[in-house]
Amino acid sequence: MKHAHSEVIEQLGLGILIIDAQFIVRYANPFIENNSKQKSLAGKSLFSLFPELPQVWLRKRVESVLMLDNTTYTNWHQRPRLFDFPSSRPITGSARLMYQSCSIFKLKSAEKDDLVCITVYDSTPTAVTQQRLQNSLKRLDKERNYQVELNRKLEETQSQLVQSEKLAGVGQLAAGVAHEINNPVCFIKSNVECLRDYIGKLQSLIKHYDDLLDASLTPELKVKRDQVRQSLDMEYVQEELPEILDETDDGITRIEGIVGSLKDFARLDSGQWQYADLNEGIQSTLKIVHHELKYKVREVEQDLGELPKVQCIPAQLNQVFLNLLVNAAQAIEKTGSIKVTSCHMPERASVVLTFTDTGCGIPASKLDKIFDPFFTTKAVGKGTGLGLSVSYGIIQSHGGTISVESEPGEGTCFRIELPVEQDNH
Amino acid sequence: MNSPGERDEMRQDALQEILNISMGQAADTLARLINERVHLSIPKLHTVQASSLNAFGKRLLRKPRGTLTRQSFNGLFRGEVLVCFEQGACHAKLANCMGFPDEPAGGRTSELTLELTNLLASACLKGVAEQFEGSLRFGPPSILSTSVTVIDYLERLKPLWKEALFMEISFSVDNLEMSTDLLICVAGQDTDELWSGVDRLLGLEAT
Ligand SMILES: Nc1ncnc2c1ncn2[C@@H]1O[C@H](COP(=O)(O)OP(=O)(O)O)[C@@H](O)[C@H]1O
Ligand SMILES: [Mg+2]
Repeated sequence: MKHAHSEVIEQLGLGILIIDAQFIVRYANPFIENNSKQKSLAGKSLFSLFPELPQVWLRKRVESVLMLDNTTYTNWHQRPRLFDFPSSRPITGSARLMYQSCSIFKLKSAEKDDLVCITVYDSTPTAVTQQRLQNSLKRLDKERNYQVELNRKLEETQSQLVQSEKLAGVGQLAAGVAHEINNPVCFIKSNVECLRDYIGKLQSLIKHYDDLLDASLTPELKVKRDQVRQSLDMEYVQEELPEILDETDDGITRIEGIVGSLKDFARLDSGQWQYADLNEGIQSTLKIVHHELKYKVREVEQDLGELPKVQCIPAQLNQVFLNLLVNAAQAIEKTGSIKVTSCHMPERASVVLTFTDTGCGIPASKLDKIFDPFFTTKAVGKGTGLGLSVSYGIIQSHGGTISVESEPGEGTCFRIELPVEQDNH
Repeated sequence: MNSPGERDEMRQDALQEILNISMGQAADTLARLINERVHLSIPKLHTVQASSLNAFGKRLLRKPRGTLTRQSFNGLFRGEVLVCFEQGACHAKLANCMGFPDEPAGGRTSELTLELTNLLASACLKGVAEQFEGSLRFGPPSILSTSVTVIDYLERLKPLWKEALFMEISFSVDNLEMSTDLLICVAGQDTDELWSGVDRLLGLEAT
C-alpha cells in the first residue's frame, strides 16, 4: 500500500512540494520537477530554487499554518500564481504562464520539526474559460450600453419628430388662415382709410353749412336746427367718430400683427441665409422691445461674449429673441430683472445664448407644453401661444436646440445653442 | 436523571464554556500572528428559525454591512463560517502585518479578506476541536457578496435548513479601525454531532 501511495503522488496532476520550517525542500513530485525544469530539488532552499516566490508573504503564511495547524489557500483569481511555471496550453493558450490555485498545510511528522506541504493545482483551463466569459460579458455590457444609448436617442428623435410634425401641421393651417385673413383685412384697412377721409370731408362740409346757415337763418330756424342737432346727439357723434376710427385702426393693426406672426410661423417670407453677428441682433431686438420692457425692468443685463459670425437667417432669429424677451417681461408681475448672455463654444463649433428672467416661472406640469402651438396661459388678446412654437421651429431649422429650465416663483431660463456653420445651406 | 429541558440547558452552558475558552486561545494566537492586541467577544449562541430570520436579525448584537465571506468545515461536525467585514474597514495596516506588500491593489484586497476569513475561522474553531479531542478540516474560503448584511443575504437565499445554530463572535484589533463579525453556523440536521460531542464531555453519553 505504501508503494501505491507514492505511485499516486508521482502520477498526480497536482504539484506537491514538501518543505521544512527552514524552507528547505524535502520532496517535490514530478509535476513540480517537470514544470520547473529542475531535477533533484530535495535539500535545496525553496527561495533559491524559486526566486519568484513572494518571500515575506509566504513566510508569514507558513508561520500561521504552523501555528494554527490549518490549511491556507491561494486562488488564481486574486493571485494568478506562486510559481512561474509555463502555461499548460503553450499552443492554444493566451497566457505564457500557468494559472495556479495553491494550498499550504502542516504535515505532522515523526521528526521534531514540523513539515509544510504546498500543493499546486493548474487552474489554466478554468482561468481561460473564465476570461473568455468575462470578455463576452464585457462585450455584452458594451452592446447593452450602446443599445440603451440608441434607445435614448430614438426617444429623443421621436419627441422631436412629434414636435416638428405638430409644427408642420399647424404651419400649413396657419399659412392658409393667414392668407384668408390677410385679404379681407387688407380691404377693411383701405376702406377704413377711405372712411376716415370721407368722414373728414363730411365734417368739413357740415362745418361749412353751419357757417353759411349761421349767417342767413332767422332765430326761430336756428332754434329748430339746434333742436334737430341735439336730438341726433351730433356733438357726441362728432366727438366720438375719430376715436371709433382710431380703435378700428388699432384692431386692424392687431389683426395684422397676429397674421404676421402666423406668417412667420409658417415662414411664408423667410429671409436669406447669411453670416450675422448675433450680439447685434440681440441689441437691435432689445431696442425694439424697449417700450414693452421699460415699466418692469430698469435695464436688461447683458453679458455678451465675443462671437464668430453665425450662419443664419437674422430676421428669424430676431423674431426668436423678441418672443423670448416679451415673454420674460410678461412673466414679471411688477418689477424684476432680465439677463441675456452669449458665448462661443469653439470645441462644439456652436454659440450659446441664454435669456433669464426673475418672473413667475413655469410649473413642471406645463414645461413640456409651452412649445406647443397655441399653448398660452395669458389672457385673450395678450397671448397667442405662438411665440415659443415659432421660436422652436426657427431654432430647429437652424440645426440648433432650445431648452428651458424654470423654478416656479424664482424665474425662467431659456437656453439656445446654434451651430456656427450650417451643414447643407 | 435530568429532564430534557434541563439537559438542553446544560448542553448550552457547556458549549458556551467551550467557546469562551476557545476564543481566549484564538485571540492569543491571532495576536501573535499579526503583532497587535486582538479582541474576540464572548460568543453568543442563537437558535435560528429560517422562517423568522427577521427575529434573528433583531437578536444579533451587530449587523454590519460589507463584504460577506464563507468557509465550510467538516470532520468532528460540519457547518460553515460566515464572516462579515464592515464596509470601509481599514485593511491596509493589517495587510502589512500579514506580509502583503503595501500597494492595496483590487485583487489583493480580496485575497487579504479571504485569508483573514481563513485565519479567523481556523483560530476560533481550533480550540473547539481540541477540546472535543477531534479535528476539523476547512475548505477554501470564498466571497459571497461585497455589500450586504448577513440577514439580507440569507433572506435572499431561501435557506435549505429549517433550524440552525449560529454562534456570534465579533473580532477587533487594537489600533485598527475595523471590526469584523464571525458566525459559526451549524444546520439543524448537523447539530446532533455537535451535541453528542458536548454530551461526551459532560459524561452524558446516551445509554
Ligand atoms: N419667461 C417665461 N416665464 C414664464 N412663463 C413663460 C415664459 N415664457 C413662456 N412662458 C409660458 O409659455 C406660454 C407660451 O408662450 P408663447 O408660446 O410665447 O405664447 P404666449 O406668450 O402668447 O402665451 C406662455 O403663455 C407662458 O405660460
Ligand atoms: Mg409669447
